[in-house]
Amino acid sequence: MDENRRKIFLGLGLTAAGMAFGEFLRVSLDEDKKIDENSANESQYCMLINLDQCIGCNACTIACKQENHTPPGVQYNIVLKKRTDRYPQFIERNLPRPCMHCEKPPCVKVCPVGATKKRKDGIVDIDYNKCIGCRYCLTACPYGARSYDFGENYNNPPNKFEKTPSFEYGQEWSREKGKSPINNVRKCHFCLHRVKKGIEPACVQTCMGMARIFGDINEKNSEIAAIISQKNAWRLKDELGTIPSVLYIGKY
Amino acid sequence: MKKLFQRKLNRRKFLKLSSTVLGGAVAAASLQNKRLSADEKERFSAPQGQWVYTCCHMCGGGTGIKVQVVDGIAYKIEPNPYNPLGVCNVSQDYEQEFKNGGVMCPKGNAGLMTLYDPERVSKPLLRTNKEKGKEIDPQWKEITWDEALQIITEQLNNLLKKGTPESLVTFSESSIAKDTQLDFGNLFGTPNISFHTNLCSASRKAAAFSIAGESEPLGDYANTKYMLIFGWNPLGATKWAHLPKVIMKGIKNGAKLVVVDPWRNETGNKAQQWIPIKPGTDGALALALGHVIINQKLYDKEFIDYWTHGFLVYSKYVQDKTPEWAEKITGVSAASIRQLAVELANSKPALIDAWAGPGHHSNAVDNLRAIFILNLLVGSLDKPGGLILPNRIQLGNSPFKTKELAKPRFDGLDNFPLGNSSGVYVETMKRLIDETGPYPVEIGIATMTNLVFSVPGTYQVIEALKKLKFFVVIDNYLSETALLADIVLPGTTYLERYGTVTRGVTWPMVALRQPVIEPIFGQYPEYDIFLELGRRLKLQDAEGNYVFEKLTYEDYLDYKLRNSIAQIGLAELKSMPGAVWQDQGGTVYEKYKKDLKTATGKFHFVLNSHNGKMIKDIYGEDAKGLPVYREKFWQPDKNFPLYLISWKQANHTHSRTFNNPYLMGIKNNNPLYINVATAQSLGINDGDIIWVESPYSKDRATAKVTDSIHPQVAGWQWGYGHWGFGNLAKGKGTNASQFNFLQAEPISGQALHKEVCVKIYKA
Repeated sequence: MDENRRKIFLGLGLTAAGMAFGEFLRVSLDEDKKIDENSANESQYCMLINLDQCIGCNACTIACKQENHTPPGVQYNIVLKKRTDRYPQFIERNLPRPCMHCEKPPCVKVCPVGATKKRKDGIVDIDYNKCIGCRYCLTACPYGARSYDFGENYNNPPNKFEKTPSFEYGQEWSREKGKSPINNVRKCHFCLHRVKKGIEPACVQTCMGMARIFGDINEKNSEIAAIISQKNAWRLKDELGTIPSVLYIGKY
Repeated sequence: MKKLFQRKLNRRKFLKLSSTVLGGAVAAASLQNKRLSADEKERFSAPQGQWVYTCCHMCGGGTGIKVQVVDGIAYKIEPNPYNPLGVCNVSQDYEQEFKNGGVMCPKGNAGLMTLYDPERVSKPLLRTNKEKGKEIDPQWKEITWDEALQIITEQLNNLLKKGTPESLVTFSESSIAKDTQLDFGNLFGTPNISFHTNLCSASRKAAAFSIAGESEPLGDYANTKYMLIFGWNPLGATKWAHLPKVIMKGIKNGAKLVVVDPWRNETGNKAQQWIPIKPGTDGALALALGHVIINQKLYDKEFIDYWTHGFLVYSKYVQDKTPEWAEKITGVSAASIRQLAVELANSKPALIDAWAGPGHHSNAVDNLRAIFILNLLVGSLDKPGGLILPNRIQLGNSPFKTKELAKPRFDGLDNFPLGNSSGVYVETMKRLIDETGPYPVEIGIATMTNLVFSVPGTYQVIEALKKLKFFVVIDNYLSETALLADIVLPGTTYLERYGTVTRGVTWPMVALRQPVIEPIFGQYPEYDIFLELGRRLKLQDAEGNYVFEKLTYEDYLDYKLRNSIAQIGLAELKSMPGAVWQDQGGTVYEKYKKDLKTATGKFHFVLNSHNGKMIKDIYGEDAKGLPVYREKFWQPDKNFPLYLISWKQANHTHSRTFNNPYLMGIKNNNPLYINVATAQSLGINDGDIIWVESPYSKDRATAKVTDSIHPQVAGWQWGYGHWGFGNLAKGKGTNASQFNFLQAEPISGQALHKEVCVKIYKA
């Protein structure tokens, strides 16, 4: 298992060197001050992904695109595949990768303008209005969870659906040149705007394998708290000490 | 079940009240307690809009969806939990699982990018170039709807004047305006109204029908202890969105999943055991399993004694079908066959299922019969955790008297003892080319179907379609088939039209597909095209009434719904929770104890004939009614040493979703899977450009060297390799159909997508 996991870490693309570069560039800001005082909330959101249940269909990837109107090149959620063993023992396993919403997020530390922060409810957000698009956070993230919105569209000119606004973070974001989130860094926010309404994130809702569970681990009797306490959950790249809020069970 | 309905009605009331704030979503239980501050309430209430409950049609499954419409624009598609197709397939589970909501596949999530695709055909097009062919520009001229319909009417009227209405043949996807096409065809006077099923699951339907008198048995995966799946990939080739859910639930509850397939597909990756098998030999494996189960007396004697017919004949037949015999044919070791048989028979309940894998070879029906018969041996038909014979609702007859037609079908459907009412596309094409039909066919209408890609033998199909004097294509895209048309009419997507979904679960249900927005180019929905043609042609029913004169599709559907067991009209169906009607009786098991729709009233191990037609083996010899194993026609030889198979995966449907950028973003190429050992012997490396060659075509492909496929097999996802359709679809991957040829399975008329063999070499 450990050996397998180490292989993934290599496969994930961004190396520790990338992170060091981000650290080097970061403007020294006290990380604690970046915790949003306004989002006073005792919730602590967490996602649990059962890899034994994931069928690798990418419904989550596209549900997310539909929900958040992400353009080409911006992927909040991807599904990594690992192929092991020789014929006829061969097997392919899947690993969905949203933003990890780390307890110690390397991305937050490197943001020179305080646009990205760790909210008290556990979600790492990006304030599109503050983000200057420097992309230090892109290199700092050891999970490759962030991408930059170059302002491209799937259709040129964008089709009617692409022109409609997204409502990330509970604000209306119309897709117009020079306006956020174009030229900002974007990433998964656990569908904060849905969670606030009491609805699961889009990826969780659509999942056909029932592989994802989302919830508040501070809430007594929540399904996620119960399962985490029973099962042997693990974190991606645990050795980095980022302490993700996304937990996995099952084998990758 | 009653309780469920009451609760659903209550929920609906609740939703009505709350839909402005919550957008009609079913909230996750653990998140419901969160309170929004006054300030947040306003911020997070957007977007406002109306949710319309309907059914998906990104594939033929028709899973329940709801669509949020904001300022006249379809803004969001989400699962519709009131429709069991996205939840589960037995009513007892639905009761429990409804509250957790429905699910949706990647295609369903990508629907809006198809709806608003700027490359959709928006206006009727008239061909001005008389010449037709793959590379030939049709030189389209835009015309009005009125002009287009007038030209089509004149062409059809010529047939009526000549007294040869049977010279019209239609092809169509199965759940688009099927009812109106059948009625239009009947009143016009042609028996040649055909649909998609014979390209898809006609062989499975024939096999299941021969055993149980029911064509589409459905597995109760959630409640079984053992799933043995031959050549089907429900976790990858996703259809009804509940399938992965119920299968994964079954596994979670301790069921063992065993997948028999030449390729370790997505379902195989979740299986505890993968059995790679030589293509088209599944029947031999199934017979050997039967041999072991019978000889070790592991069969369900009580079930067989009371409820089956022909067991002794079958058990005699399998006496020499030993695991050693099957090992030579299938490549599966005799030891694994023994282990599998014992395990299967000792697990209760167990179910054995199969679809297109064994179903697209020339020996498909026999293979599938041998497989389904295993369900009789373990006594799992129509029982919880077994293979269930669904109770389906039949919508009522048409609101008018249809005619008796004298002419036989052009495609010779009658020659197939277990032929599918959808027709025999490959025979139609063959007879068009050879001019060997019972009469000439002059006009073709193809609705939402890309025959050039979907019928095996691309270049033969092009030749066939060129023979049509007048060819109309109704489609959303300028597909390769549309490029051969004389007139192209813009089609609608499922979000712009009506339809009904009645299959996929085990109890009677009818789910409404309804327009979420008006057709975006002001085009006629497909059913209205046929109604309008009927109007312009002044078609009369058997009693001489001009029935299309004032008929709207809403009235038509309303009548059919009222005259079904649902006994509700269209307006009532729309107002049902999720726009779904369900029978309160729910799933009923062991229905065979009361009534089974077979000749003997029992399940058949043996079936000699159907409708007076002998069921022979595929070489035309007497099979004594048994599911005999006969080698498929095509076998690898020196010139073409590899079997070529093809499959569906989660990101695409057939050949029609290839201009959807979300879906192409998942996978925009279809490399040819080749086993590592095979590739090594051919000097091919992963990612190499290779030639693929069959007697029917030669084309370039990308090699994917993998351990996931049988060494004698090359395989890939189909639907790629477009030269028409849309700019995103064009030039991506390789067309899998071109290597095939026009041939039907002899018992069911099923098109054979996996019959051919190929050679591959470095380009």
